[in-house]
Amino acid sequence: MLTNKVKDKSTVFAITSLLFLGVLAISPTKDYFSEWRAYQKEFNRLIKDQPRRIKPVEIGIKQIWLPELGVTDRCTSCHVGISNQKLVDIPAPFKPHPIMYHDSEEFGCTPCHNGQGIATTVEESVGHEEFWDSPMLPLPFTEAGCGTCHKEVTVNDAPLLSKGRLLMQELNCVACHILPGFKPEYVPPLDGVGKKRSRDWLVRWLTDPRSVHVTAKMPDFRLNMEEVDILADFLMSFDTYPETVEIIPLPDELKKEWPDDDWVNMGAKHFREARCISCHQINGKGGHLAPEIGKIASEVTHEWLYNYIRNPREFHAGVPMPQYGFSEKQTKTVTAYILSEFQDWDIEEDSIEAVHTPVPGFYQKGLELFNHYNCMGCHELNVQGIGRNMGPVLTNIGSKPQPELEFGDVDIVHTRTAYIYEKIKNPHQFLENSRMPIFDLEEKELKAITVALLSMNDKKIPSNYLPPESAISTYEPQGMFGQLVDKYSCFSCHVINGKGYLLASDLTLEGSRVHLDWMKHYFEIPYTLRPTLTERMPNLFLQESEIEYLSDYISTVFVNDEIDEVEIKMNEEVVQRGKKLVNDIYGCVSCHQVDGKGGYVGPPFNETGKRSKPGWIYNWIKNPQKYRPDTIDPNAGLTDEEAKQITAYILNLK
Amino acid sequence: MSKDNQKNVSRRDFIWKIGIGSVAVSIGGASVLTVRYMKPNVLFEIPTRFRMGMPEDFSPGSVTTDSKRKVFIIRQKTGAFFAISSVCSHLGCITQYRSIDEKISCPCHGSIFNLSGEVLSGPAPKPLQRVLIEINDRGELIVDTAITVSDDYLLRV
Repeated sequence: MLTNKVKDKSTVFAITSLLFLGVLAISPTKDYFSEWRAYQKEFNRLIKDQPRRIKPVEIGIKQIWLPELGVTDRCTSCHVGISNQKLVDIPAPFKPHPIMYHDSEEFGCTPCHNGQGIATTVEESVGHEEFWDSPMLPLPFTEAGCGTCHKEVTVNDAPLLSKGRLLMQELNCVACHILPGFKPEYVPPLDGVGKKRSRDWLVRWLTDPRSVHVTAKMPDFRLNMEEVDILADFLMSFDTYPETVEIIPLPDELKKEWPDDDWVNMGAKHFREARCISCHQINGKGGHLAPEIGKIASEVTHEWLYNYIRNPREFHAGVPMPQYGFSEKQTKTVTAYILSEFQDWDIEEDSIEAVHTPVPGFYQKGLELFNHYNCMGCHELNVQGIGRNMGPVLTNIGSKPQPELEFGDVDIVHTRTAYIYEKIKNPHQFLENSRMPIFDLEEKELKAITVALLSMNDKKIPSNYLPPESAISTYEPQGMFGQLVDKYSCFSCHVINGKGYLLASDLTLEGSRVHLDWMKHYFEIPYTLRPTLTERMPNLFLQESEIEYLSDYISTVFVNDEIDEVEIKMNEEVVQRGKKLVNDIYGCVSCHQVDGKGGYVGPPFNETGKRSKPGWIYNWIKNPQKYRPDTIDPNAGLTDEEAKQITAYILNLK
Repeated sequence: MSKDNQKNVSRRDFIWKIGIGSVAVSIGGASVLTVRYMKPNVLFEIPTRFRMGMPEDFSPGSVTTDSKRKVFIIRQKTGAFFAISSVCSHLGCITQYRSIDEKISCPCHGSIFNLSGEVLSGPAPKPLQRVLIEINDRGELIVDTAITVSDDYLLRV
């Protein structure tokens, strides 16, 4: 009896003690078998096979704490090799960071990558944690992190982000969405569209713009046949041009069914000189800046075409097309050439509706549709009753709370990234009657825009962590020069003092770069400087007085005295030394031609002396990247003396 | 029978031993963990060990003040480095470098130190503490204000 009692007590005691021990052991055991500890042990095991000696990691949680940024990142507890570039062939998560743009100890990890920095398990930090609203950006979308702070359009070393921002600009997203940092694109206004287009064309265009032009910028609004009919009737009713436009009736010479051959040939020559295809596409070949014109003669009225070539800026203020200085005869011949050549030969005469009776009540219904689809976001039309009807504000779309996103029953992972990607791909899968049009983008373009949109978030970054803001140019050319620059749309391709688009060259120092005589000649007959480039600078058909004015202005204003002040001594010895440097020591002839021998990448040296001023050659070869950061001309680290000798040699070649 | 008895007793003993043993292990483990608990896993404060950039960024004969980390980095004319804490040895004020006479002074009670950290005048009882400065494997200067070194410590690069 007694023994049994004692036995019972001792058993109870033993069991409770063991339970006690067990319960107490749970916490340390969990800690001991934690994921990060296993990773650190694995790392210490792996570094024994490394070619170079790596210090083993001290076991324990690692943390980067940056109170100013609000960062508590424990990522380095597992990613222990993240900043150790000595590691080779080591698997994730120990791999060193590819290129470190920002020191992880200074910037942490989550400001760029997102994710839950304070977590110490894979699932909670970089996995799918339901209650953490800033999940790690999937790797292909990482550049969105760069864009959080770097707000300029093109960000160095972030190609996808830059592509996305350029695309968003090009697609004119800002027409319907509020998007800070984007400017509205030029889109043709619709006043007088009834005199420019045929109803038949409008119907085809409204049904699917890309079936008319593969490169059409207008997206597909998925209009049904009824809507297309109403809108076409509505638009055809605007058959008067604004009062400011002076319309010259089509000259008799162009009214004939076939213009004279002489005129066509002359027009073809001017068309080539004007290099229209630098910007326009003709049946899929040519530039990307302006619309396809391969069938333009069948797409617009001949009167409009003639008047537009004569004076594009009167029609559409702000159009990027330069106002060519064609004479009256030249305008006529160019029009004649276009009318004879750029026809749509496939159009069947019968298919054109002879008489069309407008849909009853088309005006009111058309106005409603015009407003419903926010057509005026892009197209100007001066009619009462038209208003803006914008889509959602996208200022902070990159940090819109995930539970607020309407996933509907679309079967995708419920993250912001997936939502944005799918939404741009097909807006209607989330909402059947969405107004957003379909842009028909490729996968890479979809990714790029998603990255650009994700970079628009409300992360608070203290100013001392932000990059210095790139100064926005306030340069605005004045007076006669300003008028000419506007008339000939110089900023569409050239940059001056930070303003414009860098398709061609930066003209900020052009006066110090080229000789006045060369410049005048170039305006008359432009040619390409580099043998491998397609010719792009158009002959703008400038008047002689305009050439005089522009050349004088450029060579007096766009100069830098430091460049001009270089003195080059010319004598046989210096030239010979320069020759040796060019041919043998620096191998310049692998890209540049001398006397017809050499490479085809850079401009031939025999021409250089006629074009470039000595001071420019000298300064350029010393540090080409100073004047054009993206040039492939290498900085050979020339001494002053060497640079002068090479300059003397090049000048001597002319 | 007695054999059985003996067996019973030793089994009871054994059970007791298990009980006492687990209690002992629990208490022992708990106390180890309690002591361990005193030392935090991570600290929410500026790390005492930090990088100061490349040695080339410091010109010989220069004094660099890092007021956030409370340290002076001094590069002698010979090119050798040392680092001294800017916390005054008197009452812990943060001392300042005066370029006008190349002295370190404490704004609170007027102690003056020379660039080696030695007391020239004032209430400070001891020189300013010299702390560890070294080069890491990326060639950068590393300072650790938690590790003190002797007053003749120099880092030559």
